[in-house]
Amino acid sequence: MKSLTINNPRHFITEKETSEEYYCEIIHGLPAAIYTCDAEGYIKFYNQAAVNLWGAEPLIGESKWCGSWKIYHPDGTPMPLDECPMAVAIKEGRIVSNQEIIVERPDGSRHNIMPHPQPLRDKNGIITGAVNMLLDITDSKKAENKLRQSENEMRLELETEVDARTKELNSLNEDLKKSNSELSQFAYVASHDLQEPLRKIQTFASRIIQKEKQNLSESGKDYFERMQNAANRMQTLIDDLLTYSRTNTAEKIFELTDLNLLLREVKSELEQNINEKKAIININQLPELNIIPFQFSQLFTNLISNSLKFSRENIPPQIDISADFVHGKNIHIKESDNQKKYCRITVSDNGIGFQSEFNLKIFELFQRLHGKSEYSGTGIGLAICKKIAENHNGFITAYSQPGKGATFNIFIPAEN
Amino acid sequence: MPNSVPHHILLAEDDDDDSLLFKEVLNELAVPANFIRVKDGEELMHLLNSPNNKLPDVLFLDINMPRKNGFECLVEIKKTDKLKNLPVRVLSTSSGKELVSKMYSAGASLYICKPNHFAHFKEIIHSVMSTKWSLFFPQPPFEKFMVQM
Repeated sequence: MKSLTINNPRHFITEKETSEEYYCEIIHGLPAAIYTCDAEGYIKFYNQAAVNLWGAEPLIGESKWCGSWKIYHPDGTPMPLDECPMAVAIKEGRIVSNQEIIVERPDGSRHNIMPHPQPLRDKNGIITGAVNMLLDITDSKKAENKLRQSENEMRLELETEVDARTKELNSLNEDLKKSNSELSQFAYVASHDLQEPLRKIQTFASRIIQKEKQNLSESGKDYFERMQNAANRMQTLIDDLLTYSRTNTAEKIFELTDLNLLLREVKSELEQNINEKKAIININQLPELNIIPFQFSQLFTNLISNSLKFSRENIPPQIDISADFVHGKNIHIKESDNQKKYCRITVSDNGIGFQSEFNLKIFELFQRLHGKSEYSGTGIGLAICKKIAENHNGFITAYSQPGKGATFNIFIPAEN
Repeated sequence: MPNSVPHHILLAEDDDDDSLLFKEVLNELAVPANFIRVKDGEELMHLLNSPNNKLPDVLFLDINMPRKNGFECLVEIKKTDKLKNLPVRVLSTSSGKELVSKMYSAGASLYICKPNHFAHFKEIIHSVMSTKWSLFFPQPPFEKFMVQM
């Protein structure tokens, strides 16, 4: 027991304190299990806490290495007593740390133990045995397991919840897609099928005027003309609606297109209207862009037709079309992406313009700023322009002041 | 009317109004024609396929018909040896680009958009009847395929 002598230089050591009996008493009273073995592994000394831990008294001169009845590895496989950490410490002359074992008592109860065996040497360095302190970590182990279990349960619960939410969102998303596509299908079918009865009304009306005109009174003829006008307006409305819904449903095939050539075609299609209005159209050098050509023709047709329609009285319309490249961060519109570069196509005119408060509203479906008798129109043209810009992952803006012309900017993401 | 006027005209049209208008156009144009009408695609194919039937000179075919639509009839006609040389002129309310291309690929020889005015209809039928379609056999170029007013 010499090795257990506590040398504290600041402590005044009495005779009684140096006696072996005294130290034995102290060690017996410690709550930690402590025991020693000699060089051959026989248990020499142990305290009460060790007896409590083992669940039995070892037999002095018989019990070796470990006072336990049976021991196991942490995974539950049996561990031979002569391979226990204490045996390793004596046989190999080293401290064994962090090797947890499971101790089984004679009554079958099991405890998780962390041994701390340390070899003892004489002054020549020869191993004389070892001292071992056994810490019962069963409770902290249980707590740890419980924590891990509840952590797992919580994670599982969370994962289940996240899964359920994801599924719900996916299904909502699907529903939304479906109802969106149903809606555009509906718009298409409705406008398409409305064409037929309308065509009949117009055709038979034209037949009556042709064959029965002489049988109608003056007011009868007037009513008839009004009816035909209304039918013609409805036809324009249906045609525009069809174009609008086709912009949604038609296949989007992008092609690298020279905007100069495309605009030349648009101009020649509008030639009659342009000549009637004595309009001047200035087209600056435009770039090649990856676009849906058919839709871009529609976009320019709508914008130019608008400028021709909303021109000032007795002033020939002038329309300027140009393009440049701008960085998203310089655009300052919520739709623009700061990481992207855009091609900005500008169409401006010298027409009647509109109040700036309407610069968003004019792109809504069926929005009109003028009475039917002043300017004809369905309020669909600019909604189509907006849809087309969006189909190209871009956007369109409008600026104007009454009497000062209008400017439309189309922003299309530019590659490189 | 030139000599090439077809005198045996078959119209496949389920709509009574459109049939009436078609007949009135023929009357007003004074086309000397033997005119027959069928009301759906099944009736049309049955008539064309019956062994003793004399084939018409030209078929005017509506697309939107019950039981068997115009497109299905066209495909069948072009697959049948006895019928495949029969000129098929499509009549439709729709001027949708995809539909027009689809009918061209299936082998129709003309696509007529039903007009909104009787006078236009008359003009179209007159011009169709006076054109020497044999020059464009079996199909005209795509630019001349659709007639619209």
